Amino acid sequence: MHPRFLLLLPVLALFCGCSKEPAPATGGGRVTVAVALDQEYAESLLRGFEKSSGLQVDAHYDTEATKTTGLVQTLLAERDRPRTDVFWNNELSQTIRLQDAGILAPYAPTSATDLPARWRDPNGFWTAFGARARVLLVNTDKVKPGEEPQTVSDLANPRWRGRACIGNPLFGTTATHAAVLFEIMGDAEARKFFLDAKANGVVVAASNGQAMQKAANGEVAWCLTDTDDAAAALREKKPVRIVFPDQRRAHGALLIPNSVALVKGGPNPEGGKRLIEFIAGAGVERRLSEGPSVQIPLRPELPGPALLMGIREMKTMDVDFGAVAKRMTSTADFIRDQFLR
Amino acid sequence: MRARIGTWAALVALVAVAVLPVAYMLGASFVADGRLSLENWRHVLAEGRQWALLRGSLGLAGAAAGLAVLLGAPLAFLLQRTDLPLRRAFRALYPTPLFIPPFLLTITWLYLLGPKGTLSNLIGRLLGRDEGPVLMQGLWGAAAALALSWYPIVTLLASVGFRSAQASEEEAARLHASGFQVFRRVTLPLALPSIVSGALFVFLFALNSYAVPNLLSLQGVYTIEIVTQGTNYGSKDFGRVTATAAPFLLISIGLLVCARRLAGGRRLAPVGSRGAPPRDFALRRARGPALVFVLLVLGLSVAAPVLTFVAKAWPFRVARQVIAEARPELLSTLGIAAAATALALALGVPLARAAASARPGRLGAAAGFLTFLPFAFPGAALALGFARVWNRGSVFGVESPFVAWLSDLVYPTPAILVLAYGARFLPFASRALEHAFERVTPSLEEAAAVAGATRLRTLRTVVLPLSARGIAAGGALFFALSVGEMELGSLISPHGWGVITPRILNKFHFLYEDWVGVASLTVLAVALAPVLLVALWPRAEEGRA
Repeated sequence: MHPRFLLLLPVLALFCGCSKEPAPATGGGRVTVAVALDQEYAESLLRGFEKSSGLQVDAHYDTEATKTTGLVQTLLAERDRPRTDVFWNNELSQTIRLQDAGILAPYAPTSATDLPARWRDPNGFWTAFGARARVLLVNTDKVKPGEEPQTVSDLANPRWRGRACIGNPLFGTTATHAAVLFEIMGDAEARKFFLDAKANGVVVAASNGQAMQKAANGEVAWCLTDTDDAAAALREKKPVRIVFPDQRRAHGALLIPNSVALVKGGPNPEGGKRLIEFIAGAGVERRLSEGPSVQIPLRPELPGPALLMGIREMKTMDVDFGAVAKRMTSTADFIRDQFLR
Repeated sequence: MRARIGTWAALVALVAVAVLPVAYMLGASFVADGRLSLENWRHVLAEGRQWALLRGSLGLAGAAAGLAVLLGAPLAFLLQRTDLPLRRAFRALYPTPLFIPPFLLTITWLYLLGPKGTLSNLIGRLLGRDEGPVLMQGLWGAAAALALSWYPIVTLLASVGFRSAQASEEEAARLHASGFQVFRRVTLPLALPSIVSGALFVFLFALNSYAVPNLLSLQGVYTIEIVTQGTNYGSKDFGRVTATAAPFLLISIGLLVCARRLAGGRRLAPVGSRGAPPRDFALRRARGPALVFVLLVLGLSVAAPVLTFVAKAWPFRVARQVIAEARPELLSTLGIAAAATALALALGVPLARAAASARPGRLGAAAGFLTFLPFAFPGAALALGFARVWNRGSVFGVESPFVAWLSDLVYPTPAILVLAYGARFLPFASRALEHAFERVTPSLEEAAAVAGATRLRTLRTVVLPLSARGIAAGGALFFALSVGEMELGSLISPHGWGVITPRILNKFHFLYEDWVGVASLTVLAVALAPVLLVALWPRAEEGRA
């Protein structure tokens, strides 16, 4: 071998050695977590857990560039050689998909027994907590008070032709929302709604964050987005207001909770369980509510975030996320082949 | 012989590191339901969507390449062949955009000419309107950002073409024709293949871009489609996802072959004796407009991002907090980029030596082609290939403790990103290294050999002094590209080793403008620091060596 190649060996050796040994089965050491909740919100919580537990948490965060589905695919690709202990998802249906694909192991955290039963998997494969709501973010410079859209169906309303925006329905919570619409409307009606919205010139942004930016900047009159994105616009004092959709004679607004699950065969299952106990506990839910992501607690005794006035009184949809998870692929096929075409 | 062994060893390492993931992805496109099949290809080619994607991607790449030629080719002529004032300083400055990640340039122009952008608002006020025009959007916005990032490639290659004219040819033409006619009939035709070659490279880079179309919400382009497919269908229809990326690969390879053929016969550095250099064209009354043009190009591509990020970060109240918050990602980016640069140089030096030799032969040609191959594959698809190839315990269904051990050593550690960056950006380092080695006249090495110098001594006393600055420049370029990388860092960064670019993108989406300003300036400083060091490196002259 050429002598120059010797240069390569120490460099690679240095970096190959950068992964610590998996912790022993009794816990301690290092725990790995794939986090779909934005790093801005999750990191300080995980650092807090590190301090209190003595465990080192190595996280792989979701990014705006590749979205949650990137993490899900990574977990699926690693099925035969899992590298992750815990999956902290910022929604639920993709977690159930992973459960159906045999990627998860059951673990019901004792810290979550105070959550309503509908937010805990009966077999312990996942625990849901702190939710975001899907809301309409309206630019107040573009829409007069009293004239705001009131329902998600307004995406197909000719009054808003070319003036409404959504994130890419193949990614993130918009993908879940699309599958939910298919579940509650039925295939035929949902397909018609999306095609009508397309014909109505609905603007498709790369993400919910970009949809929010378009509404906040006045590029469109309003958008369908998540409460954490809407809160970012409010915090930056953009000319916007939040409308909770479908409150009258309709299904109500969609709540999309975080979820946490143990990955089957991960390198440190005991450490993973300790981390799940922490994430699913009331302390994290409270801090997520008080923090910049303004998540809505699912524990009824916890107060709602101050920035989202009236959120506790908001009418919400009753969704079977298991059924929604089963619709994700067929919905994505339709969105890709017909809505985005 | 030892040189050939070195080249072979580098070639084998290149195949293992860079070509295998690409080959794996291509191979997977021929597998459906666990057996060999053309089903995935049939499905993809039958989809009308493919043609729309093709149109979208080619449109974006064509627009970016066209704009890059409009900026880069006149710049090359003005800097190389005219009496433009300050041209030495401009020559030193014009490659700077290559070291600024294109997504940062896009963010800059979104802040300036996007919705409610600073300049948009200003234009709106000047026009007496409530709202200014939104110029930074859609295909042309993306094309402009990509052109501003990559025009120096056109300038670099066109400069070679403009310098290739010989005084005798132009002087003969000047006897019968005006300066403009000489330019049109002699100088420009000589430079045209280099300009086209530069345009083809920009076309390829624009075709390959993911972060820029993503920022501008462009849907109908291949790179976005591949990420969409990969993240939604990667587990269910992996073969179909890889087949979707395949037409892109074929187009890219075709472009690479054309671009290299056009550029291949032209060395970036002069070798041996050549005729007297041609006279500079006198700009006369065009001097003022020419100076404005050069300042405008450099202003749009270099000054605009720096000043915009300074303005966003001002008065730097959050600087300390941002650096503390982003320290893990910054250190991780720095370490991984540095290690990947070392890997690229270790692989690139023998390969570039082979490709730059007077008689490169099949080995040199193979080296030249293979180094470019991973760049012809979209970054997201390359990431999927890396994840599949480097995280396994078996080969063809047979369990292998060695493969499992290697996988444990690489996949969950930063080594996976070191290898992926090494594969992705090797072509850039390789081309810069070829340029460095082209400066070494073969006769100098032959003279050293005749004088009894050993290979090592020749290397130490002749080759390295003449090429060290070029090697360092190649390393600096590679380092800067690694620092600004987005897709690989997003998709396959190991747990606890996140890189800085996706973090900036997240903060941009959440409207933390001061955070974006500070972090972007830090990234620019990190990316440009090695370049400044190279600029201060004394130039070696052949005579001194």
